[in-house]
Amino acid sequence: MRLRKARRYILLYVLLIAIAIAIILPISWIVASSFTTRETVWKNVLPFSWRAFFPADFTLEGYQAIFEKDFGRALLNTFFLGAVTVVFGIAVGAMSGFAFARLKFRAKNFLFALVIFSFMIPGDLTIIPSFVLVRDLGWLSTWQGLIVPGLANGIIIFLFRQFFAEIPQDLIDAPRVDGATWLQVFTRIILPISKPALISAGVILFLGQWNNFFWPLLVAPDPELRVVQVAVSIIGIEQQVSLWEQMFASSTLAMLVPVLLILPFQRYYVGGILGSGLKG
Amino acid sequence: MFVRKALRLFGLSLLILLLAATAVTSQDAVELSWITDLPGAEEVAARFTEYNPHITVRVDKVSFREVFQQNQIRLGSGSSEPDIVSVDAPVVASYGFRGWLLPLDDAIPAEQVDGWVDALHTSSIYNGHLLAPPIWNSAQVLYYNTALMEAAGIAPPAPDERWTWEQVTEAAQALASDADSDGVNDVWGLQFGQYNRIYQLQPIPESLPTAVLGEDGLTVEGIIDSDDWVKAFTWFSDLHNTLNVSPQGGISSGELFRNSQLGIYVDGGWMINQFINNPLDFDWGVAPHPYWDGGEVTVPGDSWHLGVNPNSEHAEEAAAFVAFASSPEAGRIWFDFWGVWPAHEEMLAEFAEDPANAEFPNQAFVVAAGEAPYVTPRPLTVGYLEYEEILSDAFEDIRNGADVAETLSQAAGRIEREMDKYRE
Repeated sequence: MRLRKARRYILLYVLLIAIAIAIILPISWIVASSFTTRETVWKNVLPFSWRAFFPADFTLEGYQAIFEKDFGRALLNTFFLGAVTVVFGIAVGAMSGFAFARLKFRAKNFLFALVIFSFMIPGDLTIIPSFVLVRDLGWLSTWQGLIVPGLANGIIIFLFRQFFAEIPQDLIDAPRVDGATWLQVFTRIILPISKPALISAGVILFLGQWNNFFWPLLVAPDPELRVVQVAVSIIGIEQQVSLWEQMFASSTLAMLVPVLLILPFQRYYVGGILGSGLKG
Repeated sequence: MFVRKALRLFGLSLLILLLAATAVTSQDAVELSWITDLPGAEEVAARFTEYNPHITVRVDKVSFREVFQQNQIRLGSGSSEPDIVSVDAPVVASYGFRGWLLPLDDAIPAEQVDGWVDALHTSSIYNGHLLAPPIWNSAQVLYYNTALMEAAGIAPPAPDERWTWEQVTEAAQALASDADSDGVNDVWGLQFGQYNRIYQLQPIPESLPTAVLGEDGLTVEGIIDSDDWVKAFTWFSDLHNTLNVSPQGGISSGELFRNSQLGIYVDGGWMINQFINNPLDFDWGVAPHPYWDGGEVTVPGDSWHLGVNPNSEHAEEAAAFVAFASSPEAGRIWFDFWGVWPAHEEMLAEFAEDPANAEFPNQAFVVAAGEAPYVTPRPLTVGYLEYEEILSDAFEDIRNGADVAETLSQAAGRIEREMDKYRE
C-alpha cells in the first residue's frame, strides 16, 4: 500500500518536474540571450547545447540599446496606465459588485447576466465596435482611449459580487440600524475587510493593462503613448532585421515586472480568486 | 490718461495680431498620419515637410504584421486615419476591391509613372486605376559563404552567373555536414529567408514554367495542385526531409548564415546593407536568383506601395506626400537609409554604371538591381491574404514531411472555398 503510494508520488513529481522544465527552459534561454551579443545568440541553438542557457559573451548592450530607443518611456506609460486603471477600475468594479450583491433594484438579475455575458464574448468580436466608439468620441491617440474602455471589467464586477455575497448580513445591518448610509457602510465596513478581493482585482487589472497589446496598438500607435508590449514588438526589429539581443532584453523586462508584482501578493491573489468562486 | 489709452490700444492690437496669427497657422497646418513599419519613413517625411512646411507627417511605427491589422480595422471601419496607407504590393487589388484606396491617376506626374519598373507599375493598378504607387524596389538574390563553399570544394558563382536550382541542390548537398554525428547538421546547405511564404517560393513552380493562379485571378484548382506544382514542392520537401540540407522549424535563416551554419541563403537585396553595416566575419558573395535548367528566370520582388485613405480629411495633402515618397528623390533617401533600390528604371541604370559600385561589396547592390527585369509581381488577386495564408500552412506541412500532392490538393480546396465570396 505504502509502496503504491510512494510510486504514485514519484510519478507525480516526475511529471511536475518535466512540466516545470518545459516552462522554465525557454524562459531561461530568453533571459540568457538578453545578456548575449547578437552574433552569438544563435551560436549554441542549432544544434542545441546547454551553453545556450549561459550568456556566451556577457554584455548589457541589449539593455542599453532599448533604453536609448525610449523603452523607459514605454515602461512609465504602462505603469501610469496600469495604476490609473487599478484605481478607477476597482472603484467601478467594487461599487457595482456591492450593488449586485446587496442592493435590491429592478432588473438586477438581467443586468448581472449582461455583466457575465460581457466577459464570455471573445474580445476579438467586440474590437471593431469598440474602435468605432472610441473613434467617434475623438479619443484616438489619447490616454482616455486607452484607459476608459478597460475600467468597467465584467470579471472584476463578478469577483466583487461573489466576495461581497459571502459577507455576513449582520455586518451590514448593524451600521444601517445605527443610521449609516450605504456609502458609509461600503467605505467604512466593507472595503476594510475586502483586502483579498481588492488585491486580486488590482493585480488582474494591472496585468490586463500590462499585457495588453492589440488595443493600445490600434487606438494609440503614437510613440508618445507607446506601451510595453507594443514597444517589445517594435523595438527588436530594425530595417526588417531582428535585433535579437534587444528583443530578448525588452521581453525579459516585460516579464519581470508582472513576476515582481505577483510574488508579494500571490497569497491574497489566489485567496481572492478562490473566494470569488472563479476557480474550481 | 493718454499713455494708458495708448497702452490699452497697443495691447488690444497685439492680441488681435496674435489671434489672427494663430488662426492662420491652425488653418494651414496639417498633420498627416501614416502607419508603417518601414525604415527611413521618418527621413522621407522630414524631407517632405522641408518642401511643405505647413504639412507634417506623424509616423506611427508598428511591426510588419500589425500594418495589415491596423489597415483592416481602421479602413474597414471608415476611419479618417491613417491619411497615408501603407500597402504591400499583393494587397493593392484586395484594398482596391474594398474601396479602401483613393484613385491617384491625376495626382502623380506622368513622367514619374512612366519611369517605374514595369512589374511595380502593374502592382500599383486595380481596375484600371492607379491606386498605390511603389516607393522602392526589391529583388531576391543568392548569398553564399565563400569559406564554406571552398571547404566543400565548390567554386562559387560569379556575380553575373545565374545558377540553376539543380546546381544549387548539388552544392547544398556538398555543403551540408554533421561533423559530430549527433543527427543535426552543423552546417546546412540551403535555406530561404522566408521559407513558408509564397512571396519567396513562387519562382519554384513559376520557373518550370507554370502558372500560380488562374487568369480570372481567383481559380487555383488545377493549378496549385497540378503535376508541375507537385514536382516543384517535392523538391522543396526533399531539401528538408530526404536530402536533409535545409533546416526545419522556425529558426532564422539570416542568423544561421551569419553564424557560418548555412552555406547558401536566398533572401532580399535589403540584407546586403545589413551585412555591410554589421560585417560578417567571413567572406561572402552574391549571385543572381536561381532558376530551373531549361526553365524561365523569375525573381521574387515587388515593393511596399503607398495609397491615400478615401475618408482622409486631408486627401490632397496625403496625395502630395505619396507623389513625393514615390519620386526619384525619395528613392535616393530610401536607398541611402537602408540600401533598397529605387523603383525608377533610370536610377537603377545610373546606380549600375556608377564606378563606386564596381567593386565588392557595393557590387552586390548592382547584382540585386540587375534582377529588376526578371521580377514577377505576386499573384494579382483580391483574395491574396487568404491565398497566402493557406499556402503558408501548406508549405509548413510540406517542410515537416507531409505528402506533397495531398497537401497541395487540400490547400487548393480551401483557397477555392475562400475565393467563392469574391465570385459574385
